[in-house]
Amino acid sequence: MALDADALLATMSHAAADAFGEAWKDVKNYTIPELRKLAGTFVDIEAGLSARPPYYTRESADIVFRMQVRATESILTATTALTMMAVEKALNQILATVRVAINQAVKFALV
Amino acid sequence: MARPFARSIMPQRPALWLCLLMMMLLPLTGCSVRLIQPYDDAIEKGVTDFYEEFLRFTIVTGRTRGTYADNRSFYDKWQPKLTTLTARALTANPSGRCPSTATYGGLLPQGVAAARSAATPAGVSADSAPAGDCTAQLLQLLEDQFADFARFHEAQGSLGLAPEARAPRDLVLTSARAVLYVELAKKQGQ
Repeated sequence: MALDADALLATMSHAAADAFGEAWKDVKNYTIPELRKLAGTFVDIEAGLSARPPYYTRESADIVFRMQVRATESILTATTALTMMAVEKALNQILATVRVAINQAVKFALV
Repeated sequence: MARPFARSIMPQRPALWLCLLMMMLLPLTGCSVRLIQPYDDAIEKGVTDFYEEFLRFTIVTGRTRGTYADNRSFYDKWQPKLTTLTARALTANPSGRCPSTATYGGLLPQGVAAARSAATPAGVSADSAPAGDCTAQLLQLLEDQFADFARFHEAQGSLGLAPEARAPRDLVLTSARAVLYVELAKKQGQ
């Protein structure tokens, strides 16, 4: 049975939403379109192996599958970086709200 | 024995000691929290140039089903450039980490190392764990992706780079866009 890109996307998006929890809403604008492209490449690998004549060799398909895992890793690492940037921004906003009080108390520019 | 020395200088410079202590506890820049290295113009430009040249290479080579043997010069040009960008990012933040990438919050419950190992064909060594902060790791992933694209091209033998074979090209571009997306987000956040 041929792979269904929409079904693959739904499964991957659901898993990613669970994994990133509250941060998901901040990063899904990047992550979902990338996962959609990734689902398309799964379909392409299957099509390339089953085409007559095939346009992938068995050995090259093995390499493409490994690249698929690495591309997923790239998307998730970027998503992690974006959530860290959001955390960094929030931390600095929190520090900014108490900067004056703390710096006055310690009598130097600590924060 | 160190106590008299510490006592002799600490009361005179309490502010300095407090700030130094905080700098040891948190990666700080000007006493603000820094969790990821700042925007780097060289990374944005280098990866943007790579994106364009790689895309052009796959279009032109795909048109003639060019083989790896006939196109080695392209790989010889870009592999050192990508390695240099990774080294630059690692040097900018040598002790950096990218937290939660071990299992991606449970998305890869067996861990990235197990997923890499499972996806690695027999006889080929699996990727080592990427080092550095998220930026360095993203560049390492792009470098590995491009190296595998070269292996893929070679493994295609006389089939060459078939125009229908979109997956490997798209997977390299996915890893390149991941770097660009983060750099541009940093730039907008500056």
